[in-house]
Amino acid sequence: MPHDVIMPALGMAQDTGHLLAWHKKPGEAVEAGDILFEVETDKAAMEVEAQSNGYLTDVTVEAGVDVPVGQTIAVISETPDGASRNPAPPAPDVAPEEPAGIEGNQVIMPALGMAQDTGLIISWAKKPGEPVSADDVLLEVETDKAAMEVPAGFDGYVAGIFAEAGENVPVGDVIAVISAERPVSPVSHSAIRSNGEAPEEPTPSASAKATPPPAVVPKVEKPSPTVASVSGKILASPKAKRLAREQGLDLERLVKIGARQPYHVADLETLKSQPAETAPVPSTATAASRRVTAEVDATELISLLTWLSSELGHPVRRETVLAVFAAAALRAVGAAELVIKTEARGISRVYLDPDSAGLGHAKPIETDVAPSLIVRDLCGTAVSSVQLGGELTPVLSVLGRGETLFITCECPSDTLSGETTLALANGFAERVADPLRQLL
Amino acid sequence: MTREITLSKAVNEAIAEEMRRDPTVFLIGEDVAEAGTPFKVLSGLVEEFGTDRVIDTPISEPGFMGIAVGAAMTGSRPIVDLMFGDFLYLVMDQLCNQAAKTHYMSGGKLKVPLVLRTNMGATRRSAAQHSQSLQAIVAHIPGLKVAMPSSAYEAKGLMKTAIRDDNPVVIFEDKLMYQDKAPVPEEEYLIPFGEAKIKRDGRDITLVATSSMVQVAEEAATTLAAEGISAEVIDPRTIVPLDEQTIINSVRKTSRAIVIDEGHQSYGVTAEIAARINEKAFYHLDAPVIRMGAMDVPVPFSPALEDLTVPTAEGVVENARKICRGELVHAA
Repeated sequence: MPHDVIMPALGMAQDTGHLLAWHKKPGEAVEAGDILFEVETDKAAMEVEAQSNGYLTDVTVEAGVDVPVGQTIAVISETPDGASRNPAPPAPDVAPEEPAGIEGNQVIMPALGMAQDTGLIISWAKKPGEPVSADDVLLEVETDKAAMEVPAGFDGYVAGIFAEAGENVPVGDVIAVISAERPVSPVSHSAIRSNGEAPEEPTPSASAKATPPPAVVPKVEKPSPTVASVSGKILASPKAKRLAREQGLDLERLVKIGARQPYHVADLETLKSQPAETAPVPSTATAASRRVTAEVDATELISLLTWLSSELGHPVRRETVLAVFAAAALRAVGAAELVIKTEARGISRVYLDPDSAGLGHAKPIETDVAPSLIVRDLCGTAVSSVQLGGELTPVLSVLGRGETLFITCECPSDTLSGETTLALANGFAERVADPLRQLL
Repeated sequence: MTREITLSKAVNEAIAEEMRRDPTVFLIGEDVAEAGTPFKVLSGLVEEFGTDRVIDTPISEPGFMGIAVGAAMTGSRPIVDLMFGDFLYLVMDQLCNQAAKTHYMSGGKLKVPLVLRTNMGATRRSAAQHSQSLQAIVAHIPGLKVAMPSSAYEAKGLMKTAIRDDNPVVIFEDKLMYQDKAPVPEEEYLIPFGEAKIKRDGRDITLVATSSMVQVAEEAATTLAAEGISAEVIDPRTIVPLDEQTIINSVRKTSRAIVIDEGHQSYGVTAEIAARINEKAFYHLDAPVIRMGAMDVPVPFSPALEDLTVPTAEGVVENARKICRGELVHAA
């Protein structure tokens, strides 16, 4: 791909450079880094290196001439005769925004520093169609070192603008065309192709004059820049972060309520005083869950079931009694209307306030109401430990091994507090271990 | 029994007591004998110990420093009096290349039990070449211990410990504090190196201050207390060795710290202590650690300008308020 050689800006306040001498002859092979020519500014003489490999062609400026900064003075081509410049490879049909063909002088992204590859367009000072004079500021460019205003360089009208503010454009790329006549249909579009390809090398200005004016070029919508996620990084003191982590507090919530960053330990008090997050939607089922386990002796429960069955004259299911204990334990931690669902050997039953019916008398009901608590009787299964997580409802699982029952209480952290979870698990375990507690 | 004596008198007592106790101790420097130094710190010593042990030298700092290093290597315990801390630059080779490294390079066969007593501190209208606080420069050199007394009590206890130490010790006294009085016991006492003193208990912010800046920190703490901010003031007393633990423990308690020293701020004592706090108490910090050193400029001769270059109690109060209120001094 041929590369324009432009007069670089070697100083901040430099308008022109005096081309002292060419170090390469037209048609000569050059390598990136070779001294290409020598420039004198008001401060010093400097050697300018070639930025790419190829052949020096299309030398338009002789030594001894003052050249405006940014003007193309030669081309580094792929062949010694610069042929690759001419018929550019047939442009794909999908590139109607090519700046080719707009009559006028091309404005290119200037090299404002020696080691600069691209320039970021901060803003355009002129709109397409507006008249400009050579000294008018046309646009503002930011390099890695500084922001600079770039003059139009030509008198006339802005016939086309080919890069939008915010775009990073390779040095030497055509970014605008200034025409002598007021343009009939000024053009403005982004240099960024929708297919993401690098912009095509601009066609030479000389041949552009001969090209008929193009049809109105459709403006290519540039995808709006992604707004950096605000929640990406939270500014907080090391201590505040540590305490938040230790206490399970989420600093994101301070961001959400609009508290000003950075956060300090004092802000954690604000966070603690916030009401708990609203009821989670099912998708938040992965919220951190609490898990408490207990281990109790099964003897008393077994004798109770035996006694109840003989007393009532029909077998009493273990899960029914467990549902009663669970309801009582949950009520003891402050719950009211209780819907307890039992799951045992693949069968689910739902009880409403089973503890008020009395042991052995609780009857399953038909309801669509979501259970307040699930009791999972896993006795007699091969399961030896439970940690399912992701439950939406507190779950009490009971596993049996020999004369010992293992009780696991799991619940999402936004349903019951840690304290309540502990009290629930403990209340349930105590009732299972000592059913008299329930009878009395 | 304690009595109030000046810092100058405390240093004089410490040296006299040690010279009486140990005949190998001697004083050497410019104007130390008849003149008793420009600050009269050593007055009366030549009368008691004679010119063999209180030696006036020609004006050649490298010369008498070199003599002292050699004497220390061969069994004496010299106390070198360097009239102004600014003259440290003249004795750098003798101090940093010779005294500091001899014990190490001789495989421990040679010791250099030498005390270099000199001074620091601005606002005495002495201009740029007689006002510097160069403790950071010597503290940077391994093999040197650095003591910075903040009162007559510290000056005496630290001087006696320095004289008995088998390593080269540099003591910086603040020029403006020579006439400041403090209670000093009549009985003998020593202050161990590497043991900071908590000058004031506090819970909201730790002010670590050296030498003259201890007064500044204490004044700031008083002002802050009236505003309900409880500041803890810590005087490290020796910056080499540094009692890191006392400082870290305090910051773990208060979560905030300002470090104050009269040397230039950049690459200074404040930077070193702040960095250690960051390293060892990071997860206890609720605010960035603030350094407060002297401005990075030559000390001006103009009194009005000179006063602006050193940390002040008002400046400490202002920074303390900001970080206690959760206003980052430099929001990230």
